[in-house]
Amino acid sequence: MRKIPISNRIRELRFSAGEMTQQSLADSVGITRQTVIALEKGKYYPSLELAFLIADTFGIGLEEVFQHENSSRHSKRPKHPS
Amino acid sequence: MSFHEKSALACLISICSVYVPYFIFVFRFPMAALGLFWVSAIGLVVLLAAFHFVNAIATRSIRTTGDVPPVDELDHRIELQAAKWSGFILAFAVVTWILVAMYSMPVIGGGELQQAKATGGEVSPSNFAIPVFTAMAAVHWLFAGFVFANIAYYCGIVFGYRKIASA
Repeated sequence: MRKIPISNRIRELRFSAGEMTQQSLADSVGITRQTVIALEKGKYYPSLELAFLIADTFGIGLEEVFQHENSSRHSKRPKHPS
Repeated sequence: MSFHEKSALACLISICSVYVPYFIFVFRFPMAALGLFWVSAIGLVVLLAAFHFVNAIATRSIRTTGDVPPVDELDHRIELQAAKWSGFILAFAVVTWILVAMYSMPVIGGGELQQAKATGGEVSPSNFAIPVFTAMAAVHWLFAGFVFANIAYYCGIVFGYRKIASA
């Protein structure tokens, strides 16, 4: 499977959510602080379930937390022969 | 360093500190393993208990609330990756051991058979004998493969956590 770069705004969203700590985010979604650090650094891509949980914690949509870095290139729809 | 990483490191140090001297000794004196095996097993349990006791005291969540930190999907992924590699190592060790045993045992055990044949003595299956030292050494090699796979497993876990932690 081809790997695609995914970035996230977790760090930024934590600060805008009243200086939320990594530990409190980890506790609210049931993961360890180490996993939050790995996510923020982009060293680890979460499962879909965890990604939704994180988005729910901030009260926003999934696409506002996680972005596909080359989304403009990949969003082009393939042409289907009629 | 997280609780689970320290736990894996404790297992790695315990296994290495018990079984490296064990194998150095039993490969020189194969028959010594009969008593030494139980001593090493007890030593391993004591070391693991001591390391985990210290790890539990050093972990804030256990100290304050008594809760062990949760095992999340990242921990599972690291463990699975380590298990995959250690599984390969164990399979390789066992298959190698079987092949070596299959081809060398007839040569080792058939020595007396060949001798009887050459001297014109009675040739019977009872002439086939594997020296007990050789048999014990073979058992130690198999056990060493199992221990090495365990070491590789814990190395894999520690390496996985270090890889994630390094920026």
